Amino acid sequence: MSTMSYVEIIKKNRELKNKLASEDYTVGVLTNITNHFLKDILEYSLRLSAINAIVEIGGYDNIVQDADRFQKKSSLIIVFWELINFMQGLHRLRPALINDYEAVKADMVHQIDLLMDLLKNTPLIIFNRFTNVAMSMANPVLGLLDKLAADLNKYMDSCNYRNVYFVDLPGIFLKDGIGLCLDWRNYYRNKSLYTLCFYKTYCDTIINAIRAANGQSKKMLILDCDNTLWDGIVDENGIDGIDLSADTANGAIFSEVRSMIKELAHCGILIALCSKNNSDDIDKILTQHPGIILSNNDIVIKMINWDDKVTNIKLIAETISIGLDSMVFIDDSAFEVEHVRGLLPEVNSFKVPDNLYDYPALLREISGMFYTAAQTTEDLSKQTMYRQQFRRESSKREFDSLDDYLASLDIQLFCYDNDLNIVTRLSQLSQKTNQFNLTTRRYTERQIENFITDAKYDVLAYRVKDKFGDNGITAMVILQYDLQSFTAIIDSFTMSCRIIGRNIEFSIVDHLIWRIKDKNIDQIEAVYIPTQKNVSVKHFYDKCSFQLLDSYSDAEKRYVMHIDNYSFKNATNNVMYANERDN
Amino acid sequence: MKEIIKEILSVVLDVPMHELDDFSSTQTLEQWDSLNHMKIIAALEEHFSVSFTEQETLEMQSVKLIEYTISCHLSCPPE
Repeated sequence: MSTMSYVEIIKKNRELKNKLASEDYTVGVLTNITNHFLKDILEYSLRLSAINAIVEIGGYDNIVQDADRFQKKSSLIIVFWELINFMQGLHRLRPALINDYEAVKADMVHQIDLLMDLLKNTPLIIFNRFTNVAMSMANPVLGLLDKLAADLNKYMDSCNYRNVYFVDLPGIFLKDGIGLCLDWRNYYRNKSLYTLCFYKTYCDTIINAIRAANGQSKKMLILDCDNTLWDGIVDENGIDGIDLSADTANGAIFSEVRSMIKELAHCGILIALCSKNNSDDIDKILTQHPGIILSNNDIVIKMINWDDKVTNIKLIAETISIGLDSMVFIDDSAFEVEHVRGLLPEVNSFKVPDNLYDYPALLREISGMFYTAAQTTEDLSKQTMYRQQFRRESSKREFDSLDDYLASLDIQLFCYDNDLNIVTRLSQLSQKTNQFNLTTRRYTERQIENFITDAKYDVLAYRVKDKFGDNGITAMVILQYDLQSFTAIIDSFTMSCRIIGRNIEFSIVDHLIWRIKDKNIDQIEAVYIPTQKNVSVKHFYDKCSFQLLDSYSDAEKRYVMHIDNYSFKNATNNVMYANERDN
Repeated sequence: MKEIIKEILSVVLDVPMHELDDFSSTQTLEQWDSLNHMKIIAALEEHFSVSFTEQETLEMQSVKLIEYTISCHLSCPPE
């Protein structure tokens, strides 16, 4: 974004607006300064990610009132609450702080509570942490404003909001230089505090959080080995000829890179290797070399062979069942990077920088693409689960038929019945699942909580275990009941891609029917809403022998089924409830 | 330079190029309000790599005046 001129951004933004067909993503900006540069820059950076943003800047210094207005319609709310314009200006704030610091603070805390309560159902809030950096005094004794900023931030941290992404503005000032970020000329005349340069960097900073909220965060990092993980080429220099120490200049750079990759793996990002090499050599390095830092446990899948990388990356996507657009690829060879960019444009491909010292900074930047709002147990054990998936795929080849194979897996399903303890995971399933997602309705934790506590809804989650291990909570169905018409409606049906292909979805439908039979329900309604990614489930309800209602458009497919007509795939209901029997 | 100025105005104000001339100003164009004026100034500063004084920003109220001010900064006479 920072390389494009403002005029270019405005122009391209208008062009994109007319091209994008996706649903509007409404963004409200609450502010006590003037932020009008933000609109085009933010809209454009989101539209580049196919998020059809409509940004509305709230009235000047009208934060709480606008919050009430915006919260009804906005998917995202951004808050610019600047200390410099508290109480309409420092000329009031400073004397008030001198006079009674605690009273000012208490008043602010009260306003924060008011605001955050109004926004409690907003899917995502981007909140700029309070900061005094722009007006801090050269004399450190004069630090009342610094103290206020620190105290308010501490207070907000203690509230543990689940829908807030905090932004550190000083981090942005550091990137561009504070002189290029602040616009004192426009501030005193128009209350416009920040420059174009600031807003461009600001949008680059927040985009990952917004992409994550739209199910677009990256899941897998695929790395070449030679000159990408270490200095040197194994096939030419031998195992002893590559540099895995941290003592040389280049060695220090690669060691830092490997340590970052280890941290990414630790946080649940899937790490894959894709390298033209002899797999024995790479195995030896991973298991025996003292300086490697990474181990086989950090790596989900290795494609170490002499095939081309495009084929290998496609194979990785197939084996692990993740979309190409969830992948990031790094290689030191311009040829390989261009090859992948050309044939697999969905994969974000990066070349190791020519100036090697820029490599760690590049990886730090890339790490943002893997951002997800909340981490769950499933995230942390993802590496293990995907390694099990790799073993499952390998053992599949030993069976004559898929059915035989599935039977051999000894799959067990455990149902979590309206369980408030797993709301974070459920919201994540709703936000992140793209392929097996019949309606792609995205719900926040708060919305899931509301469904769970509402008697008209059932939120059923499923944990899947088999002989290779525990896949964790990987499927969710939200049912809505209309008792007057004796109907259950499938509002959402999502399943993580890591359990696709095991006929689990059919066992879940069996379970749903067993369950609603007890509730005096006659029929079940369902809808398939197509997206670019859920084509694979287009015929799912047909396969479950639901009856297609032809009165609706081609795009959306609506179904109904009288439950007496349903033929169960499994003779008995073998789903166990997690609260009765688990682990 | 005049063409560039007009193009910037045309994009920021969302007004077709052919409707702009030397005398287009805050008086003749409804869209040229104070918020858009701020955007125009920022876009011009970015494009020409100049920084206007506050007084200049207040005076640059027409295509002609913008051209004059920028040419002073770039020390070249207006076309």
